[in-house]
Amino acid sequence: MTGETPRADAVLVVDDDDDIRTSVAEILRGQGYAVSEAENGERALDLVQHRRFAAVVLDLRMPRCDGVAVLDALDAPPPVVVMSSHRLARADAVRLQGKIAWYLEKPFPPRRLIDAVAGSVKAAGGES
Amino acid sequence: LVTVVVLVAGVAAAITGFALTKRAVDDQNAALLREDGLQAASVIESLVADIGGTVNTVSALAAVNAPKGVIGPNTDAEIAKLATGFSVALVKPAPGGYRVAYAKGPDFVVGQSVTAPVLQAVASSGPTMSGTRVFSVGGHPALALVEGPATSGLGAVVVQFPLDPYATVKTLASGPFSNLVGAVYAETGQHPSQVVFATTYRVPVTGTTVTEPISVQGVHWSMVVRARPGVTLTGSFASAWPYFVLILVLLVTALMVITTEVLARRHRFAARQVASRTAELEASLGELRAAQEALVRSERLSAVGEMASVVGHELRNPLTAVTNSHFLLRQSLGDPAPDPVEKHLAMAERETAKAATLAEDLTAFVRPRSPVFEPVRLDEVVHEVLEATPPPSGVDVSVDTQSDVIEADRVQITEVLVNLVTNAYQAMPEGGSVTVAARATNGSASLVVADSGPGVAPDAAARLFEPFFTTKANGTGLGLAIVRRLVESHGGDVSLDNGDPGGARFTVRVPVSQGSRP
Repeated sequence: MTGETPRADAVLVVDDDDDIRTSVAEILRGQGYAVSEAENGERALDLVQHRRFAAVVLDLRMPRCDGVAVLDALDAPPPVVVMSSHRLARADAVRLQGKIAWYLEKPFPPRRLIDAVAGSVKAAGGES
Repeated sequence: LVTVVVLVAGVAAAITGFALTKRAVDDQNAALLREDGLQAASVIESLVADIGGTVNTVSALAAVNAPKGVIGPNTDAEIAKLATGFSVALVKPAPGGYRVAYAKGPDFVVGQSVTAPVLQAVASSGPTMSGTRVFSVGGHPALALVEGPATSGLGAVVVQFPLDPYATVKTLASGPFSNLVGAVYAETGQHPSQVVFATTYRVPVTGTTVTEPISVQGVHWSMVVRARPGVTLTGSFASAWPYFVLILVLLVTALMVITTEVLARRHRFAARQVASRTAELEASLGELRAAQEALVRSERLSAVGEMASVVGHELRNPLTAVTNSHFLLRQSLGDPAPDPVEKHLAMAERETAKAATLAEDLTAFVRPRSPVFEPVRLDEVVHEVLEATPPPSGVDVSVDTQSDVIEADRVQITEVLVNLVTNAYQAMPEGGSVTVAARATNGSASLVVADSGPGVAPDAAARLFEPFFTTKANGTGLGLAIVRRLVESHGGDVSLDNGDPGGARFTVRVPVSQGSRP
């Protein structure tokens, strides 16, 4: 997929909780993003390696390959909005500092999610 | 007390024993004195009787020789038996008195009248011997024995002799009656002038005395004796008995007193030991109980915390989904949604927000973060807090802060103030006033949040900082527990008192500089 211009409105939502994932996806679709969904880290990595996303909304705690593993696996990931019900361990936070654009603690007002995704896309120099 | 009783009883017994023994010994002494006195009296009587015998003999010879007009050579020989200094006279009645008809010795001259006191003795003389009182002849005491009667025609025989009453004081210091001292008087009284002889210079004889009559024919004398001073008739051993008893009983008493006292002291010591051990035991029991309670409390807290953590986290995912759903609903239905959907939707959003706060509180309580210290200006923090949590309508806020800078975790100190200010608002649903004061003095910063609400009941105040303790219908009971935890992580403390005139006043004290923490 190298050389392909990333679509400004392509956003990947990764969460093992179906209700959260689908509702987040729907909120973002409502904002005009083309939203893809992944229910675990493996699937997310697969998608990110084959397509370009303007932003990734990533849950941290997931069965099989969790959010931290996804971030560790990607050298230059797209802007990542982390949403989690758990705080990052200090060591992880330090290591992954440059790879996380926003951190949202669950539950969050949906408006903040929208702002975070928009801010991340903009900061990454996307068009939108 | 027992010791004193034993002491008093012992001393009383000693005195009683002494008195009883002394009385027995005294009685014994008195009996011996009477006995010795009787014996002495009988010896003296026999001596006087000897003299009386001579007087009788002289008298008889005079009677025999009277018709011849002389007493005769036999009489002289009899008179010679008497001691030197004795004078003998035959006295006959004469006109105007009595005259000496015959004389032998220095005191009488034939033809002379007899003078008193011999005159009285002669006048009253009878057929048995009688005596005069002691009288003075040329300044020396003398005594006369008379046998008559003078009117019988034969006349009366008078034997007069000088007395040396105290000659025997020294010579009788040893002998059969050496234990006694006393005097023989020529009367029944004790007049010093009437001493016939004495074994002491101290007349009249005083003290414990025995008086015995000395009666020989018509001579009636008396003898008064007592034990020689320093001599006890019962012997020194017997006389020592009362003292021996006294000392013995006193010694026994002392022994008993010492034993009693030692036992009492041992008892007291043991009692003290027991008391002190009991106190120690009770103290350690109390400590143990307190430690156990603390352990139970901390274990309960830890268990509760664990559960709270799980619940808090598990709530977060469904709450996220619900929040998202509300958002999507609102997007679909419009904002505001048509009635009555808007009413129900708004309520669902409100309650979800409360649940979200609970989940946050649970997590914040269970997952404490170490403070990150940085310089914080007190007035800035207070204003930030009041901006973030504006007072509800009806509540006035007054601020009293200074631009003092302390070392603190800005986020945590803000959370502390937000919690306290929110509490104050909630304590006054009908409105009121809140005072927020913050200043640093002497190395310690104080943050005070006071409200004009109803205040906190004492029983509730004691538990107010415990996690999950709440007086509010919708409270989680974690706000003040979090406050305390955060303040303590700053090396400070938080306290509550009911303000003046009422309401609750929370005071947070933290060190100005963390370097100065103890």
